[in-house]
Amino acid sequence: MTRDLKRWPVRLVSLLACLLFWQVAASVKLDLGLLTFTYVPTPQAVLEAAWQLLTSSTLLAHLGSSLSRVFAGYAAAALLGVALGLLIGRSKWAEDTLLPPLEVLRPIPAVAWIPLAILMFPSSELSMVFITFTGALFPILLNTVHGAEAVDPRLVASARSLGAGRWAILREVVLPGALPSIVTGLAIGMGTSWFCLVTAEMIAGQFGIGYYTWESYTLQNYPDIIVGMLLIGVLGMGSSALVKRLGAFATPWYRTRRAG
Amino acid sequence: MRLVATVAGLALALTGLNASAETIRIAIGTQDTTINCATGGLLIRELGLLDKYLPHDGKYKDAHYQVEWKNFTSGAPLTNEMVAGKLDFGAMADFPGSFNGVAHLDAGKRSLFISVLSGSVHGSGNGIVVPAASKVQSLAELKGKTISVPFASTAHGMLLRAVAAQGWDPQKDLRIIAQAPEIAGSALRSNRIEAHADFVPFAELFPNRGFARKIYDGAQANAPTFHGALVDADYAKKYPEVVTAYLRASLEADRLIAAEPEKYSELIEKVTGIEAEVNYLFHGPLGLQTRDLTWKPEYRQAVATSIDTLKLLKKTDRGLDTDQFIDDQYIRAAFKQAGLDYDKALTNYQPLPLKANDALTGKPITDVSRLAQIWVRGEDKVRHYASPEAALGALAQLEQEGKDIRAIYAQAADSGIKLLANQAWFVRNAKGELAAFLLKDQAEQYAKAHGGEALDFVSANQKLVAQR
Repeated sequence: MTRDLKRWPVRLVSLLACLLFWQVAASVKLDLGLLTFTYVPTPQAVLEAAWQLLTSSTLLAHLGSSLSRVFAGYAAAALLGVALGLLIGRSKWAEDTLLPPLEVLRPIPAVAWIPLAILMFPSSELSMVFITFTGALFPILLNTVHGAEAVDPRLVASARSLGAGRWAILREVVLPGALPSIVTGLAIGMGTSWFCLVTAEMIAGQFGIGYYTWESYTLQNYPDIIVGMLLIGVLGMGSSALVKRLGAFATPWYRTRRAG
Repeated sequence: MRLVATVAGLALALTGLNASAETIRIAIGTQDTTINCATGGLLIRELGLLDKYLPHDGKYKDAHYQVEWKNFTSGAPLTNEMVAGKLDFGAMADFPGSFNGVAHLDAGKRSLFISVLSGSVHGSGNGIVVPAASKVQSLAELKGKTISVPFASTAHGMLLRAVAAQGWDPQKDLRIIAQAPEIAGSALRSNRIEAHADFVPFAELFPNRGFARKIYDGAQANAPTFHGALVDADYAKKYPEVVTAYLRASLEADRLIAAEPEKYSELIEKVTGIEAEVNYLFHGPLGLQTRDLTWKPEYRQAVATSIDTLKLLKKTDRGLDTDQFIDDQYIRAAFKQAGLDYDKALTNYQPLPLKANDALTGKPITDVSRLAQIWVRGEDKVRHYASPEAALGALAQLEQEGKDIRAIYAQAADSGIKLLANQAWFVRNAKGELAAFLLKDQAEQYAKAHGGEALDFVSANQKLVAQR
């Protein structure tokens, strides 16, 4: 823990250095030929825009809408991803029947799902949740499959020789063995779910950070766009960290092994 | 030989100095699917009109032109690229156009609104549609419902004005949500949205495709709307002749489509996939909108209104000096070069006129207020009829001959706007004459006042057949 504390200043300095570079680059209108900061708003302009959003009455509505959409999609993806992942990881038959269609669906970008999401779900809200769900599902699924497949077959064999049944093996051997990998998948999935938020909130909108960002684009309010981007970044980072922290509590053996 | 080389080298160096051998970029952002921008983009590009007017004299003697075209589905990304210096020209509506002006100011530059391309001083072009299966027949029935609209578009302005005219509070009496046209299409098709307000051509395109019905025309809100062309101010200052050349190409495109609206409606369909009959509805004679390149006071007002509207919505706090932003010197120069009278055009509020003979009687149509038209698939000209009842009579005949009907148009008896007749309402008087209306309500009121009965297209058609 103390080692962790010592690392925080470095992390903060890194963030501040990025901010400083941005401020300088934007204020001197840095032009590197391929990359130009000429039209990029300065952090100060963004800060003012953020302050305006913070003091407006709509921030809570934006946050609430987005959080509920992301977490609903994420929760569904976590349940389905882990369940399917364990099944596919443990059963060759399930792998052959379930994985091919899922692999076909996996590369499809969220934005391409929009028209179908609208046609298939009864409300825009559910269509949006579906989009954040597609964002989160595949990292969780694939990491779970990987974790379940990577469980040492000798562990499974010895458990079986000690008389463990299918469920007991799953509960006592496979799940704990795959858990670190599942936690990684859950943390990545949290990020990718946020990743799809702007796409989801393009469907219809009034509130939501993705919608706010998109609306700012329509209005050509560049500082507001960056406020939206940063909010998504911070919320995504925060919720990923939360998932990691919860995961660490669930896998104490893994934590100690790593620390040691 | 050596002398020639030296002279040539010297000449090259000199031309290099006075910059006439430079490459001049002409990067134009178009909105092909927003079909009323056709004369500012699609037609110029497809017909290669720009080359005809680009200057090759004076400081442009050795200029090399590099023309770049980029297509967008809305104004926002187009403005984005203009601000970043990747585009010199752009075509968009009054609302996004104002943001274009403001965004340029924010970036320390300026843009100019140089011409109108097409619009309606009354507001037609914008409209509100409901899913085809919906029972709703008028805006008044949408109280408490959800209406989607492309945010900060010219249609958004119309919707707010229409809502205000109903005496409603846009925050309380109904829910207005943002939705792009392509997404609204799916939402209407699957009944996910109660109503949708949109700009050209969607309020006609969706009904024409059969999954929506128009219940409100922008003209009812009397909020002028238009699409026009913008240019980067520095670019215009550097190459004013190029800007004028672009507008001359635009004038030529306007002349061509006015002369042969069917032919160019087909061309627009070929490029965009938007049905020629919808394109004709806007671009044809007595069309829903009027192509107009002059800065009528109504269009200047539309730009000012759009900024004020967004201030009211607390979506922007930035102002824009419209007198500076709207610059008519280039369009005036283009008119002059083309031998046209700008001031005369400025005061002309007439739609594209129709000089045609009745397809049945062969007599010239003198009164166009009851005009009706039929476009038979495969024919390169629309058939004109002096009255809706004449057109419906001819329709029965055409259908008997097994002809595929592309579209039937009628002019509204009250507002004069062009309607898709198969979705219109009619009042049939004792003499069997039909008067067309957009809304059931309008038809019923007219019937009450003038006698007759209000019918939808199918019943009007049946009555006519039964009468024979």
